[in-house]
Amino acid sequence: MEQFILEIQSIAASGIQTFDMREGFSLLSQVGGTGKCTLYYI
Amino acid sequence: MKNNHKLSFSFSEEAHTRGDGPTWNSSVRFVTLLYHWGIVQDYPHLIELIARHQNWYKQSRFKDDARLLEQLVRQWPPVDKKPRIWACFHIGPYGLIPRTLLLRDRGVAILLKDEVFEEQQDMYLLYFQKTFGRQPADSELRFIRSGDPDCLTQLKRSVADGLDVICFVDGKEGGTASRGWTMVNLHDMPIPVRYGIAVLSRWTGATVRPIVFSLVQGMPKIHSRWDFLPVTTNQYRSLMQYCYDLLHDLTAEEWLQWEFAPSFFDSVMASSKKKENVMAKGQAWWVPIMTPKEHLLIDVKSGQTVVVSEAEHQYLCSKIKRIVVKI
Repeated sequence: MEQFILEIQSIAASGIQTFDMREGFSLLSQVGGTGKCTLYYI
Repeated sequence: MKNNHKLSFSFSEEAHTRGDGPTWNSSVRFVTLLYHWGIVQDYPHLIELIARHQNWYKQSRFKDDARLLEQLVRQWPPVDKKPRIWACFHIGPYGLIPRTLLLRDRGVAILLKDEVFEEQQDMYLLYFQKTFGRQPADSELRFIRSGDPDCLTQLKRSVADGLDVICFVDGKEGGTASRGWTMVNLHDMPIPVRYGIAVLSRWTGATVRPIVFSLVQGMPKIHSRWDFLPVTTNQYRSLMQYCYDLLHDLTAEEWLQWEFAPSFFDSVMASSKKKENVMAKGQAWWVPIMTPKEHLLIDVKSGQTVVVSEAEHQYLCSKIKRIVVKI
């Protein structure tokens, strides 16, 4: 897991910033599903 | 290079061909919520929670209850025979709560919202027939529509008849009227909740007992608290806080099983904005999110995003998806 963390940080460091602080949260509000999983027992 | 642009879009059928975008993003949103709620231990834990929620969300919805139900009946907290109001949450295998009570020889009145009434009633009746070989008497199993004008009267009558009442306190039914709502603190975040169960307790004189089922490594776990004695009018908020305090005992893994937790995203993010300087400290915690046009990573702490290449994005998503977790 530590290796993966280093990989993702390295990739992010070379990325191009798009949204400023907190604007990404508005994005998350728009693009996510409900994440709801109702279980039915038979 | 910074690119200031506002995004406003929704997933189309075409976007879905890029994979399970909304499903993936729901996991990212959920763990972002949990981070700002202060219950994520560290960055590796965050990544693992994404994998865990993906597994939870993609599991088969229809389950066989035999093994789980037997364990739940054994673990159910010992209580006296007085009728009480069970304050429940839509967490984990909550659908088994009524069955567990029936198997413990309790008569049960279930409050159901109108849109699921017919479907749920049929399922419970089918289960009763399968288990006991007959249809239930009115003293054993009763269904009450939350939209009925005399719903409270029916519930009161059920308590007087000796039945336990099952209410889900995290529901949002009843529209957006200001009446009937109060605020509770959940991990130092104020969230709005309905206090109908408190009204019912005051009206019937029945005690309220909060209870939560969850699954930990495939095994059932019950969280419960002592009875809350019948309330007075000025104790409504206290009772709801008492019920929600039960959730502070849950791990992040159990919170992932709470159907309504994601609905608090906007409230929690608005509250966390006040703690911005504290929350955004330290190294960024990047996770990939899926959008129709760009391959983005988001820092769950600050909300900043960066564009990366498609190959890098797919690599990160696939690595997370391959993390093995047992739900």
